[in-house]
Amino acid sequence: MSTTEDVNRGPYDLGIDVGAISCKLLLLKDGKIVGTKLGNTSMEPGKLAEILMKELLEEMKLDRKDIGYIVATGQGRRSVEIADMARTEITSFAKGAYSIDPEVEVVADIGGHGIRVMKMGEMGIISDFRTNDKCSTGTGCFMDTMAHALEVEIEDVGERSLHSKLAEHVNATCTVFAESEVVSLIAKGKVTDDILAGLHQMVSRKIVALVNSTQCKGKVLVCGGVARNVGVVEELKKTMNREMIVPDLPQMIGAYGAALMAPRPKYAIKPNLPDVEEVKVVKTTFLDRFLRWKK
Amino acid sequence: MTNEGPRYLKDKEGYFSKEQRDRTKKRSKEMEAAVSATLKKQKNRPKAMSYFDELHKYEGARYHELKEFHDKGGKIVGTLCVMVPLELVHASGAQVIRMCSGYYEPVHPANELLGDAGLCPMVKSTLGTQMVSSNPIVDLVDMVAGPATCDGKMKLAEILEDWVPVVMMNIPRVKVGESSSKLWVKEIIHLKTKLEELTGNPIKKSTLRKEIKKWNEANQHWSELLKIRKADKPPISGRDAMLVVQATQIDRIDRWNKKMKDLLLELKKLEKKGLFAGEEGAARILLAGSPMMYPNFKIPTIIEESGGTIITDELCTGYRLMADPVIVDGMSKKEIYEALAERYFFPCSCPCFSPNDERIRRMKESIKVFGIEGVVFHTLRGCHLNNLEATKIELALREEGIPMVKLESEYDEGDIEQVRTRVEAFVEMIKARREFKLSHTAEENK
Amino acid sequence: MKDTYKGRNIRPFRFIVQLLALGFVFSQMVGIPPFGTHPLLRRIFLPNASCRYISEAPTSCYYYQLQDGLTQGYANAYIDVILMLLIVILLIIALGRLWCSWLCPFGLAQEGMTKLREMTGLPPLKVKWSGRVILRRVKSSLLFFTILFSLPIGIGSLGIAGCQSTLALPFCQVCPAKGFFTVFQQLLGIEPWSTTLPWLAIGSLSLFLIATFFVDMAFCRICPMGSVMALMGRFSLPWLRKDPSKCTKCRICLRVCPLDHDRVYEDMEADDVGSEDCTLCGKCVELCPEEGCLTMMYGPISLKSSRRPRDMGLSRMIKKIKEGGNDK
Repeated sequence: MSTTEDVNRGPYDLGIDVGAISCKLLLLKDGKIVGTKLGNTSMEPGKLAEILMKELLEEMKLDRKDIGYIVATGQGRRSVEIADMARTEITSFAKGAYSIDPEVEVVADIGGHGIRVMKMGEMGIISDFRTNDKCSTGTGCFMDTMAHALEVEIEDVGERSLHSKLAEHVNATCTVFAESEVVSLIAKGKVTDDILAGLHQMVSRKIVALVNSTQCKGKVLVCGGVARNVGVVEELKKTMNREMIVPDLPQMIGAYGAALMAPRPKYAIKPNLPDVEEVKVVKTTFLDRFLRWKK
Repeated sequence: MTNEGPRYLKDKEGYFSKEQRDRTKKRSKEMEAAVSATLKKQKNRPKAMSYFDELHKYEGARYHELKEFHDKGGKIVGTLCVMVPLELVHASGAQVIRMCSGYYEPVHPANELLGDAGLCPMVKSTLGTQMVSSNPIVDLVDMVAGPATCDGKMKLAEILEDWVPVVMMNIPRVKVGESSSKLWVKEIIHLKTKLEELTGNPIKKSTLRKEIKKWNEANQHWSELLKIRKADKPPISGRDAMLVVQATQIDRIDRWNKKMKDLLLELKKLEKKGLFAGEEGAARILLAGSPMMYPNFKIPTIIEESGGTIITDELCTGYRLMADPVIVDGMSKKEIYEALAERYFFPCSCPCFSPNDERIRRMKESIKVFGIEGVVFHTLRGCHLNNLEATKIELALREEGIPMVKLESEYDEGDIEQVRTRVEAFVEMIKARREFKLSHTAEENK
Repeated sequence: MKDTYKGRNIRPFRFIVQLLALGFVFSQMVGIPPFGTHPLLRRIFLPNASCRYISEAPTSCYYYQLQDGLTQGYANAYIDVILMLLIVILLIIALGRLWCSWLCPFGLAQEGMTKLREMTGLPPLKVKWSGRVILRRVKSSLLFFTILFSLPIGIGSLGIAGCQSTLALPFCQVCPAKGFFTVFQQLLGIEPWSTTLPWLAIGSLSLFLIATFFVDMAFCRICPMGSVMALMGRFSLPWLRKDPSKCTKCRICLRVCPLDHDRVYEDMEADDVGSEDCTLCGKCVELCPEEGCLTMMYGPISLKSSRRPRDMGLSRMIKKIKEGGNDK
């Protein structure tokens, strides 16, 4: 990307993360977050992103021309027509997490419909990743269902579970079965807070299992909508057995990483060169040289 | 063979309504047409591919040809695995079709009777096809040769006996030692006698030799194609290559050889013009894992649509079909059968064998030779053998610095978007790594 | 027959070399190679490929001299044997077991028997792994016992020097090559029919020829000269190289090997997979279908590599497209 092109474009970069449940917008200027916007994903994510962008620009009192690049990510990235480029959420979460803390080894994104665990390689390039294959346990959608079954507002779930004295044990790992287990627990007259705490324990077990499967022992960054749930974060701190950080805007990491992926030269990868290893001199005997072809 | 015995599932055929039968047929046809259409949409596609498209078509030219052959009294043998020596079947004068089905819809009737959702969908689809006779070409089969490789295939062969006679072949699953080779040679000779019984003409040494020669020629053509695929910008896509090699399983081999020759010459011309089948700067992918029979081209299509090209594969419905020639040394009948048996047994790296280090070794070699940047390991739901080997392979590839992604798929289209996200992320990761490596070396050169 | 497998690119060449070697040995019978009359020129010892029992032959197999020197050389501190061994070791280092499969006339005779068997359509009998181990032991024990017999006879103080006439050259008495050459010479009328016909050697010759009809290269499996060469295998210049990363374990190399040498198939770590039973006939190299998996080497130089079978006609057409049509 030449610098002349950079001059022609506005100084702001917009990252749009169209998730399964919510649509996140993040405005970036010189690598700093200047504005965010959140909306529930509708049937037409492309139009929604456009409307949200207009609202955000109005709030910030900016013009469409001020935006240099628009990068879309998330499951609905393809339907965002205003975007200049689209990247998968796995790549953008890794990118965002790397710019928050380069020492992070594992990034766990607990989103609306999926859990993604990424292992970081050099320079913020993922070297491996896992996702939940065909199971929604532990995702935001799962917590929504449980909150609905327990008749608790989703925003209060985290706070209420912290009041629990003795967490109930929830065994089922399937959303539907877990719901029926919760209903039977309610029928037994258990306290709602305890059931919630039990659910959080189960969710954190599931996430830790995925993190463990990367075989990494380093720092873990937990992000995504579920990371806003205090109860889950507390449980994770207990079970993770690793250093764990939760960023200020856990939900926005995807949009942040997407905005960072705008093809500006200042964001380009600059490798740190490792020291060249000294060449070892191996002494050979006459017989070795004679037999060298045969090993 | 066991016409007198109980025919458990055949008796249940009345269970399926006419509506369901018609629906399965219609959906299968539609699916094949859709897959064929996406294949035809690929850019820079060689014209010679149209023959192979036509060959695989549902109720296409090959079906009518085989039907005519069958009506005239010719015999048709169905195979369930790559380990059936097709030279032998062709030498007996019979024609071959591969029974393994890639159609999605017949899974449902099989599911309804077997009641196990966790079973391998390919086995279920093959069985479902037979149950509701949704694929007319399968109804022509007079005998099935079924090597007992994995559990699914073994029981599938057993169940199929309700409809057609089946020759079960006992595959020695441990490759070490001399006894395994001897057992497998005996199984091949058993198949030979069964084929002779079926067709009524004895298999002569000279005819068998002629067939072996034809198949070796096919092998040579296939290695020529692999050579073309080694190029920086191969003019053929991975899907097309898979389509071509799967055609050997249903076609007459001499005609296949002729058409393949045309294709190779055309590809060479395309290569000279610098035409590339994939996207610019596509990630070079090796596809490995569970088999993918023709209309089930879901995963390869996703890979090639999201910025990757399949340079080579390690599938038993791809590379492995034609990977090895039959090398006969000596004139005696025993030596010919030994050569034939060992060609289909020892170099085969099916996960049903143990030890199976050859697979990792072959993959590593392919990665080196073809310049692979990433491996997509695909497993069908319930394919235990491949699932179990995936971890081992992933660890071995990690040592080489080659990333691998494992995808589990089913015979339905519900998981396409999920798989697509993972594949796209994988391709992005490969491209980022490539960029990083490039800048790294550029910096070093300074 | 040619069309069922890939072309042989080593065997025709080897056959010519074998015929030349045979011609050389046979020409000695009628006294063609005029090496002169100096006694040193009349004593050329080769690892094999010739025989003392060819009258007037200037060359001979060193095994004769080894036994002879051990029985006679006690007084001279075995100087003859040591000198001879040094020369022979140099020869073995230079040509290794190429002596066996490329030059030995008895090897050619055995291959003739194999050809005969192929014509009858009989499959060869394969020797199992356990059998191969026993044969390998027989091979080295033959060498050991030859030395064990020869040494004490030559030591005068032991008082069995009288056995020299009867027990000297213990191996030559049973060596089928002796039978082979004497019978030939007598048949051709070079040697007169005499009472000294070596019945023992003729017996072992017929035994091995019959055995070779059923088991490929039966004598090579126990040949003591081969065992010395196998001992030197690591140091000799010709060798067989395997690139294990290219091996698909298709077992062709083991199946076609006339000596059932299994290291080529089994060994997945070493580079050098010859030695032991391998006589470097190159059959596995020419029949291996993997590009560059097996290679015949001479020191660091590769002589011939295995390659994938190719359709020559198609390759030519492809090449034409590659080269021609630059106008496009």
